[in-house]
Amino acid sequence: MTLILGPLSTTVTPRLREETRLNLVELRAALESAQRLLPTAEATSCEIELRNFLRRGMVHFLSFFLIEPDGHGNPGYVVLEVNADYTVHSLFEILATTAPSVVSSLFKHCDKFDANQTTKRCARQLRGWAVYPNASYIAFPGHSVERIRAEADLRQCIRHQVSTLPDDLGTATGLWAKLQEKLADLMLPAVSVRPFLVRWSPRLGGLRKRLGLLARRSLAAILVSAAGCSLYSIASHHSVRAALGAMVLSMVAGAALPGFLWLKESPKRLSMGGRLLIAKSAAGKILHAALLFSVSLFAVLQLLSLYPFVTVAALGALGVVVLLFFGGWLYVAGGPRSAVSAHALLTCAWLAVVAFFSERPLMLLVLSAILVGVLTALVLLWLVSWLNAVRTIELEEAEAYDPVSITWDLNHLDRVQAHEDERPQNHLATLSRIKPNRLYTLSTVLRAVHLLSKVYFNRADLAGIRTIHFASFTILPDRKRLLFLGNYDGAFGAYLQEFNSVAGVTAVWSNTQGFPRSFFLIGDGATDEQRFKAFARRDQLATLGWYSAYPELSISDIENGSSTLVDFRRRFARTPSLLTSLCEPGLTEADCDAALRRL
Amino acid sequence: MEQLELHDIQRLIVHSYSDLRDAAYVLLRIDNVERTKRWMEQVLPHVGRAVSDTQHTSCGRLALAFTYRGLVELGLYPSALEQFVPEFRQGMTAPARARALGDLGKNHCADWRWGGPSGEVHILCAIFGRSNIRQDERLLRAQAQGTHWVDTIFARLRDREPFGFRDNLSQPLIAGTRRAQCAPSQAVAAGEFLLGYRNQMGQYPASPLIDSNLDPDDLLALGRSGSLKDFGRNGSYMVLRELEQNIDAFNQLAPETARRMIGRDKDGTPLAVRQGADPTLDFGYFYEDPAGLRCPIGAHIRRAYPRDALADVQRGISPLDARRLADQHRILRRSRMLNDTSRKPGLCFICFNTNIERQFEFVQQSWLMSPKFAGLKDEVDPLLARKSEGQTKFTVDWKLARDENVTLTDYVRTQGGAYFFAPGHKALKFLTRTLRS
Repeated sequence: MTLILGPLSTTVTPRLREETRLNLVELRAALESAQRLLPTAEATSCEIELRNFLRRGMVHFLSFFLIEPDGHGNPGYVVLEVNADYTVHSLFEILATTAPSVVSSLFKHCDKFDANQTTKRCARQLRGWAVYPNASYIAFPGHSVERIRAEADLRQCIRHQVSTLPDDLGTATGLWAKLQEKLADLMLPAVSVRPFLVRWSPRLGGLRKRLGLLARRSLAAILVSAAGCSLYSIASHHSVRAALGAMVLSMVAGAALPGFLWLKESPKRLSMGGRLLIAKSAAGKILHAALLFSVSLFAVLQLLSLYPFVTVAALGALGVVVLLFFGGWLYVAGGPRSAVSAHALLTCAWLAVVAFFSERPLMLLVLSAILVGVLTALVLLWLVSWLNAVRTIELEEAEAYDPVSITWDLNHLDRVQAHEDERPQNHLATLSRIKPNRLYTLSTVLRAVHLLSKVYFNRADLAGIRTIHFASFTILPDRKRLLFLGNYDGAFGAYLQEFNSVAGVTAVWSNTQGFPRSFFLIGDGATDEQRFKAFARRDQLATLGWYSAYPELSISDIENGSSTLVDFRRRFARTPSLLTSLCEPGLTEADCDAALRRL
Repeated sequence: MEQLELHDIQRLIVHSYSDLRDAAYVLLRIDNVERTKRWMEQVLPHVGRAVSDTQHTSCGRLALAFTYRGLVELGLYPSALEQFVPEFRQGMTAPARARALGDLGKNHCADWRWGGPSGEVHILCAIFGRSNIRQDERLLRAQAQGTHWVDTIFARLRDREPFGFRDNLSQPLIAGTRRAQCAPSQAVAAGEFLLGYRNQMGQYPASPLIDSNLDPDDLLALGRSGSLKDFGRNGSYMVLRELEQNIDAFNQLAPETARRMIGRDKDGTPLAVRQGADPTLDFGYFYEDPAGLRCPIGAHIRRAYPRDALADVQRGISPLDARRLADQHRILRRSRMLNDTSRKPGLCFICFNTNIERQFEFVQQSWLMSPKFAGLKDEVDPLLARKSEGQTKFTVDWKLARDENVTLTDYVRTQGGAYFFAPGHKALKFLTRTLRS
């Protein structure tokens, strides 16, 4: 998910702003006609370019709209949101080379935009304007447009075959067997689907940011090798070796286990190229972790030479804390049973190692336990004081809060509802002003949301909400406003109704102005259903143009297509002529019935 | 349990006037505001009150409701007007509302008998009677000085609706009434249908409030905050839609198909339960018919009120949760069948709710007209399907994933409609005063 924010400074005259808006409206018309089957005779260049761009079948959702400069000195933006299967680097190049008039039409009046610049410069400018969301959610990560469409077509085809079968077949198993024969008779064309590209967005920005990243990584590499040498030189003490060994083990496990779980759970059926891409970026993250570890190790080694016993106990305690943390992570990622068993196993192994190698095991354990207690108490203390600070701010805000009346602005509603419900899917863009002093809380919460959506909510289910295709939260570069973008199924009211029971929604939006009162960051808030919907409407921006690659498919359609056919695709690739055996031996009546209903 | 202020609530909301079988819904447009207010003052004592006092039933045979444009004409203060729900203010004919309700193509408001761009309505005055309804209606029209008559819908409360099925069988009961105390499983929080009370989520629905110094005669009740007067208290939003029903086309369907499209037998027995059960008793779908074998998943009554059918145990939504969630979208119906020789047979659909978007429009848009309801693939409610948009599919035999070999055609057509607000008695009295801005 990429956002390109073309800045409109406050010095841009109202006339130019109006012109920009008109350009966007024209572009909308071009977008609508670009989606028709046949091009019209007098197609504009924008329309032709859009048609070519969308025909490649790599864009899931695309939208553009205008953020006006507000009265508080914040700049405006022309926003282009793209959810596509391109890697981030190639998206800008492709936009600049294949759709120059579109880019020009969008960003003509933006700061420092030059309509006559070369495509390379244009791509670089777009990359400079790109902003990556603070938290983003993808319903089916790793599923490309091609895959989604191919599965839908295949499902349709099989459904059609079912309807042509004779009536008197009785059981579902019989029907399934008959279907198998029928499909075996047909020569279904091979659906060659490219291995999906992973939508990967590393946090790269301008040149400065990239240099900084390079510097950090080289420093990390140097420090890791220095740490390795030091480790070797003091490895003569048994207890030290044991404790250090446990520390390293937990660190590696901590990095590897979630990585493994994420690879296992989230993008399904990755190609080798995809895996390499993920591994490369994961390696970067692990390097950062290793940097932290090596710096602390260096300090620890100094301490070791002075106070060996205490330091070893402290290391042991830290090891336990690390284990607890990753135990928690496992719980989030894999559920309670796997967490408890893995955690218990690791703890027992560590304790056994320490006990075996240490000279005074009991005292060591007792001291580590005390240190663990102290560390935990410190963490809890920090958490309590943070929540307390949040609650104090909430109480102050509550005094100035109007608890009773809700108003709606009809003119604004007409503008934002202009194209709502034209299709079974809808787009929502809201811009909220962040309360003063809440920026830190907001970015922490967003980081947690992002983590959860990557690790846990990565299959068509965001804490119970099952209608979102793509959603994201972005703190704008001016750090005063929060932009929410969502592509979802169904009606606006029904969609927001589902947010009612999700605590995370309140945790994010209670940091913005105008939101219904919250309680300790996650309580109340969005549960005040009418007020919450009025808040969303008030902050809603008119989406001037919107494209969906599969407007007739809902989340459950995509999921059914995927789950029914995911096993067949493997065979499909090998035997290009047709589906051979749909039915594994021994499928019960209930299984066949369920499979048929999923069609 | 909150006490309902029955004396202030209009009778039609709480009771259905079932003893007065005939009804005339008179639709008026305001010409002269002062004269209209004088007429309203005259008619006010005859507007029914919900309190079941035998002294009142004989004279409380009227109900009054206003559209947004009607309230604007009457001079209600802009600060209060902005607090009505946006769907009411936009009106049923606004493009966004028309798309939400499916009033496109053959249902488009340009072809409506009333309520469309040329037939703007401001006031609804409903009369209920036993035998002389037409005389009553003529008298009312003669007395209604200052208004321009738009249309009158004559309707009658019959046993069966025009397609031959028993109707109005599953009605929510307003919590706090005596009937709700007898059948608590069918009770729904009063705030779902009346402003000023808690709704199913325990919150108070938004109600238009007026500054106290704008109410010098102290006619209105105080709102919850203490300093503002609650104009909307004991009022309700009313949806009125005139629907024409194509009986010939419907009779061409096989009786078995027709039953399955509706979801009930002609005598009202729900298909989901075993034969011979009492049609008025409460039932569910999750245990009785989860796969839609007896009552198809897309059947009309299953779509209009899914009860516990939308449970999803794998995702942690138990049948009780599903029932509770479905109860957040109930409407209180007071429909009657058309009884007018100048009109084709059909239904005068009326319902009450306090949050049009979450209740009436939700049922219409996200349940009835949603092509993805309950995991179905691209089919809408069979009665409301529009042939011109290709909505001709209806899956009857779910077990073998077939489409029934019947092509749906247009059975119901919208002939008129509007969103009204039926104020409480105090608010009505307030409206009869000359309001200076």
